[in-house]
Amino acid sequence: MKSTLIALLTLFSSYAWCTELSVRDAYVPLMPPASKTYAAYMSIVNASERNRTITKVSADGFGMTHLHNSVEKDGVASMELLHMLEIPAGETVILSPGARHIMLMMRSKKVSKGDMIKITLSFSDGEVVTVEAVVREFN
Amino acid sequence: MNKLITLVCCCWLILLSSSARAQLQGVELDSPELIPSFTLSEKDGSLFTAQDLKDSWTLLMFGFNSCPDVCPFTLHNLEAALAETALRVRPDNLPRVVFISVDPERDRETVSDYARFFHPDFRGVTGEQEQIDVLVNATDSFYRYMPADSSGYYEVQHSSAVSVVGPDGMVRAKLQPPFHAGKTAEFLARLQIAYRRGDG
Repeated sequence: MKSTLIALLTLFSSYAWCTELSVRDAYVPLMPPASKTYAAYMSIVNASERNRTITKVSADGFGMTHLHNSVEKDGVASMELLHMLEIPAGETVILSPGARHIMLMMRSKKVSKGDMIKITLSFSDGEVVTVEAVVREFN
Repeated sequence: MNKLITLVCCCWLILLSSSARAQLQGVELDSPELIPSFTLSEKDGSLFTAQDLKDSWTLLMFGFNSCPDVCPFTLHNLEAALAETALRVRPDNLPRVVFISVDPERDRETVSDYARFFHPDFRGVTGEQEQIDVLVNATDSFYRYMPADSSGYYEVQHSSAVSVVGPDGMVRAKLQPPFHAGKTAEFLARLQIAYRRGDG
């Protein structure tokens, strides 16, 4: 009985975590047909009372996926690899063009307008959130 | 009389602040730089040389096709900025956009389609490294290859500014991120007016 209760509580608590993390407006801008490299943008909402940290990202149809930040220093544009991305308690982190983004590399299949690309965000506490990002024009 | 002085001061301040806002999107060079001879080409072999810079305004942007964020973002913003510029200048004064890949090894076959994807009139060119460097040096720009990762992917750091070349083939200004459409258009229109007056 006790173990059932613990199992139920665990299930309930993980369900609660799931509802506290959400992703809005996930999209991948359409790129020229020959492009092997894409970017994904989205708003990640952490409605919980504790900080959450993304430690790994992956995307269906891409061999390699990284969290990146585009930086401009002394007039030079470059990207820095982010090993993790913290989503502070009660805050929303926005991944947007020219700033933090998910870089999708080594495309293995054709990407067309209207496609949904499944992106998996893995958090340091073991939670996994999957997102469907729509492929659309840049705007 | 006092009222007149106040009015003149207010007008002057408004003009000054609007001018400062417009300047944010670009910087006019104190001494324009002539671009020497160079030869780059599109995928189909069409040449892009210093001759192509004569008699029209040109925006030169450096980048590479495997750049997932900054390059498409800039090209997209330039497309929007040109649409705004078209409302302010004569059609023959509308700048042409040329995207120069500083990564010819990977981009030779794709650079022209890449640029055209953002606007059918955008040209995408690349070529021999020393020819690219002629334009990079003349526009006081920069690029650098970063070490490849385990998959072989390498990033290329590059100047974020876009060079504005006048119809005389001289680099006259730099546009700066974030390339806000309206402000960039305003800057380009002012630059052209100054150029025609002969004080650009």
